[in-house]
Formats: sequence, C-alpha cells, structure tokens
Amino acid sequence: MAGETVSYMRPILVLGLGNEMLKDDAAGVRVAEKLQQAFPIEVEVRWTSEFGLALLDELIGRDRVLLIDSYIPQGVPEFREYNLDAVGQVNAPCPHFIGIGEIRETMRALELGFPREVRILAIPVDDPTSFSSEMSPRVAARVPGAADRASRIVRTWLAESKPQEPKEHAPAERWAGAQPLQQEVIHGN
Amino acid sequence: MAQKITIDPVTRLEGHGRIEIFLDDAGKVSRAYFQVPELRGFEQFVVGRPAEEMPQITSRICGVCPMAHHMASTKALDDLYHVESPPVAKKLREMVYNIFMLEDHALHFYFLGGPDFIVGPRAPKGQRNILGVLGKVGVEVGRRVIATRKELRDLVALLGGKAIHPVLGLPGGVAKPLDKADQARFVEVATRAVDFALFTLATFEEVVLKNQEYVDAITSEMYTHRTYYMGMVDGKNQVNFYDGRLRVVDPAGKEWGNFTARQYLDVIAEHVEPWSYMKFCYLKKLGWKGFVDGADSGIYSVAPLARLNASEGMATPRAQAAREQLFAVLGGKPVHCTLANHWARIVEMIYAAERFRELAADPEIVDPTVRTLPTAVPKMGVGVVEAPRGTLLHHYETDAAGLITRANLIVATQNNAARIALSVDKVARALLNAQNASDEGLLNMVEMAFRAYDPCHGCGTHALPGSMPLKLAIRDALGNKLREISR
Repeated sequence: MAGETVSYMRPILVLGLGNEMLKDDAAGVRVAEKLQQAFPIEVEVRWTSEFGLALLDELIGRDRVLLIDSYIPQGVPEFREYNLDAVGQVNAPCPHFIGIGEIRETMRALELGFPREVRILAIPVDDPTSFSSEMSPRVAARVPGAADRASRIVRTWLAESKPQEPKEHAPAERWAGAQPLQQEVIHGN
Repeated sequence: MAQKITIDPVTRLEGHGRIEIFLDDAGKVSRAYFQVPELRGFEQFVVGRPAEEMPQITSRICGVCPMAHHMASTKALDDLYHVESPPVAKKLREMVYNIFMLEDHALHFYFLGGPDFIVGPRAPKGQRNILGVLGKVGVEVGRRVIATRKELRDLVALLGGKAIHPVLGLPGGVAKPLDKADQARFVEVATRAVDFALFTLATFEEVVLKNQEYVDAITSEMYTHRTYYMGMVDGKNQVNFYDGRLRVVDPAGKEWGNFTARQYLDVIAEHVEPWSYMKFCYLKKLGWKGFVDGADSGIYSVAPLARLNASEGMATPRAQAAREQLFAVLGGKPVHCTLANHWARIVEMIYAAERFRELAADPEIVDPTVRTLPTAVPKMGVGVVEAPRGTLLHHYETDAAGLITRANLIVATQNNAARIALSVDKVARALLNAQNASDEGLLNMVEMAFRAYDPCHGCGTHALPGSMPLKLAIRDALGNKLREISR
C-alpha cells in the first residue's frame, strides 16, 4: 500500500560487544566496525557497550547471532568460539553479571524466541579495565584476523540459508556456567 | 596461637571479583577479604577533554546504569557553569530519571535479587536463578516485566534519543522538549507502571512476607550491620533520586549530617587497603576505625535501604504506605538488615512510578523553554544523583576554556565497599570452618550478601561471564590455598 512503511528485521545479527573507553575491551567493537560493509542485506552489523538484559533487545526476532567479545586468556592467547546451542546453569547474582546464558534462559522461559543459533567469537586481550581510547598494539593487530574469522562464520550461515538442503548441525551440548563444552580453537593471532 | 597473616600486595586483584578467606590455627576464619577490581586511569583519560563531553563519556563507564552517570554528569555541568536550568528542564530530567530507576529496580527484583526470596535462600542451586523466579511468579508476570521494561525504555529513547547513552542532558537544560502530542502516552505508561509496582509489592507480600523462613533470613544477625546510612533527600527530608541534599543518619537513626554535593570532600574520605584497588569510603569526622560497624566507625551504606533509613518519608502516597509497612514489620527505623534492600527496592519502585505519573501529567512538562544557555566561566562543578545502587557523585575541575583538568567519581559501590567487606567477612566467620566448608552452601550465603548490594565494577561488556565471575579461595594460617571455588 502506498505510503506504508514495512519494518524488516534482518535475520542475521553480528554484534560487537565492548566499551570503547576501556582499552582492549573495545576489541569487539573494532571488529564489528571493520565488518560494517562486509555483508549483504540479510546481515546487520552493530556494536554496543550495553550488556546484561539489554542484550535481550538485540536478540529478539533474530535467526542467528554472532557476538564478538573479548576475553583474558590464561595461557596462549588465541581466538575462541563458543556455540550456545544448549542452555546451562544460570548463576548471575545481580544485573552486572547477566550474560548470554541468563538471557537465553529468560527468553526461552518467556517464549520470546531465542535465536536458532548464537555463537560467540572471543578475542584474547590484555587490559580491559584501564581507561584508554587506544587498544594495546598487539590486540589491535588481532582485529583483522578476528574480522576474517567472523566473516567466515557469517558467510557459512549465508550459504546455509540459500535454498538447498540445510547442513546438519553438531548435536547440541549442554553449556554449564562459563565453561564451553563445544569450542573451536584457532591457533595463532 | 593464631598466625599473623601478611597479605602479599601481589595478591591484589586483576580481573573480576575475588574473596580470600584465611583460617587460623584452630581452623576458624580469622579474616575474609572481598576484592573488586577498580577501573584505573579515568582521571588521566578525561584530562584535556571538553567538560561538555562528560555526560556522553561517563555514560559509557557502565553498561547497566548509563543514565545514572549521564544525569550526575549533567548536574555537575550545571554547577560547573553556574547555570540554573528552567523548571521544565528539571522536571523532564527528573521524569526520565524516575523511568530509569523504575526499570532498573524491576529488573533487579524479578530476575536477580528475586532468587534470594521468591525462591528461597535454601532452594537448590538449580532453582536459585531467573527460571526459579519465573516458576514461582509465573511466565505471564515475566513477560509483563519485559514488556513494561520495553515500554519504559521506549519513552527514554523518545526524549533522550536512545535508551542507552542518552543525549538528554545539557548544561542548563535538556536537548529537546516533550511534545504535547506525546504527553498522553507518557501518562498512560506511567499509570500502568504504578499498577505494576503495586503488583510487585503484592507479589512480595504473598511470596516472601507470608513465609516465616524468608522473614527470618532477612532479619538474621548474620546479615545485619549497624552502620551509618546516606541518601539524597528533598526539602522535607523525603527520598529524591534526582536532586536534593545528602543526609546521613547514625546507627540509631538520628541525623548526623546534611550537606550539599559540593561539600562532599568535607564529609567523605577514602581509605586504602594493600589488598584491594578499591578505595573504601568512610565518614571523615568519625575516622577510619577498620572494618567494624557501630556508632564509632565511619563506615556507612548507600542504596535502597540506606535511602529509606536516611530519610523521613516518601513524597508519594502509595510509596509512603509501603515504606511504613516495611518499618512496621522490621521493627522500626533504621533497619540494619542488608537483605531488606530487596524490599526497600520495591518501595522505591512505587515511588518512581508515582513520581513519573505526577510529572507526566504536569501541564508544565510540555513547556518548550528547556534550556538556559550558560555564560559563566567554568572552574569547578559537582553533581550528585541517587543511582539504583546508591549515591553517585561526579566532580569536575576545568580551565577557563572548559577543558577538564581533574575529575573524580564516587560511585555507589565505592560508598558501599567497606560494608560489603563487612558482610562477606561476617558471613564467612559465622559459617565456615576447616571441617564444614561446603561449596554449595558457602557460595550461596556469600552470594546473598554480595547480591543485596548489587555491586557494579563497571568492567564494560561481556557476553559470557554472566555466570558469577567470583572466585572464592580458602587459605590456612600460613596462607596456603586449601580450596578454590568458582563458577
């Protein structure tokens, strides 16, 4: 109908998480910025420094979501992927500790339609708690590699969504707390 | 003979929360330390930046309560430029701020603080979470919370440009007026919000107050500390989240201090411990007496219960009635039970909703004159608001061009840091010894003390560590680690 506006929410979301003022915590944001023009219209690329239950607003209505975030490695710094197909124990004691697990629990319990797939790409960082608008040099150097990795994930999704027989996903595994049970470790930076 | 424990400075925390518990020779707890990382380098980061950027910069410190920083910063700019905002601008700011407080408090009660009461402190671990709460109150209530939250955030975005990192506050006013065509919507949402807040109280009464076990948990000595309390009050000593003076009462509930934001350095000092980056605020005149409570100790508390204790009433009728009920049940004012913060939060929900409705219906709220342009040369400004978790203060100093030369923030968690440390230590001493330390029970009891304060360490955004990023280590008298619990 003429003049009618149709609201369309793109099914795939790439969401960079991070605080641009907290040095290496900006890593997820910087990767998302790099991907801004990388994909066709089915993919929306955004970034946010909001967390907790606010992430719920980002996820409602999406089919697949790639979260790009940072983590502090205990050993060798390497990109990590977490696949949250299954729901695990929810432990958040207060709003500042709500993460994707709690959001998933909430959305499922309230039948709000958690995305079919949520994956997290985690970038190893050194210092996410000092105020600085510049990342550590070696973390900044990881941004292109992380963007490539994210791009491959999304393009796999796009290929799967083309009209053909869908690929079988790996069986869902329970996710317990913060320990991923299914992860793909990419060596090197 | 107990061993003297020396805390090696290198055990200072990097990363997320940590609790260190030290046992004496007899296997009893000699001391427990709660460590929260403090964000470092803020003052250097902002030096040289235009002060007018601070409401945008500081709203990015915390991804959960950006509006609180935004508003405290805006008020600091008012003070910095010696500019008085028009009445409608103050009303708009206060209205948006109450919308934010209502949304945040609702979120905390239903999804986070709720497990301690709606499900129960002794409930199995698998139920002490969001799902457990929804199991008790029902999915429809949960959906109502999410829907209410979205409605409220949409209104904030209408006035502030976006729900997060709003561009609402300016020195001397706000960025845009409320369109008369939108006023009816604000009133309608506010009316539903009052109804929802009262429903929340009814839920609390039904599920918590009628359960003696829960009431006993709230009033237990283990979670009780007799400290001073601080909160913002209006001219009638009633709770106000947006503006007023800071009032402090002693452990007996008598007024001890009443001061403006600018006077905070005369009242509040910071104590440093070698085992923590977090500085511990205390009342300067009383002095730092260590981690002890009582009338001689300078330790004080902020947040919902403290605000009720530090005030003489609520400015709206249904909130006042709810406040009176709380004090009647818990033995009168002041209430020293840390877990009563959850109940006080509901009282504040009712006030926030009623105040929101009052302001939305005010004919003056649509006045288009929303800003007074500042003309004074800036030098120093202090702004304070009551964040959901307690008093939040921003202090800026600038050169004549308005570029920051110094900044200091005192956030709610800093105000509460000493009392949180007391809570953790007291619970550990009451429960733990070398023989009976139980992973499950220990973590839950510690979590309950931790949860009531809802500490914010503002470490930015993370998808995964939603599971509590807290490590608890138990050490013997020589400092050797006996056990470490984390989840």
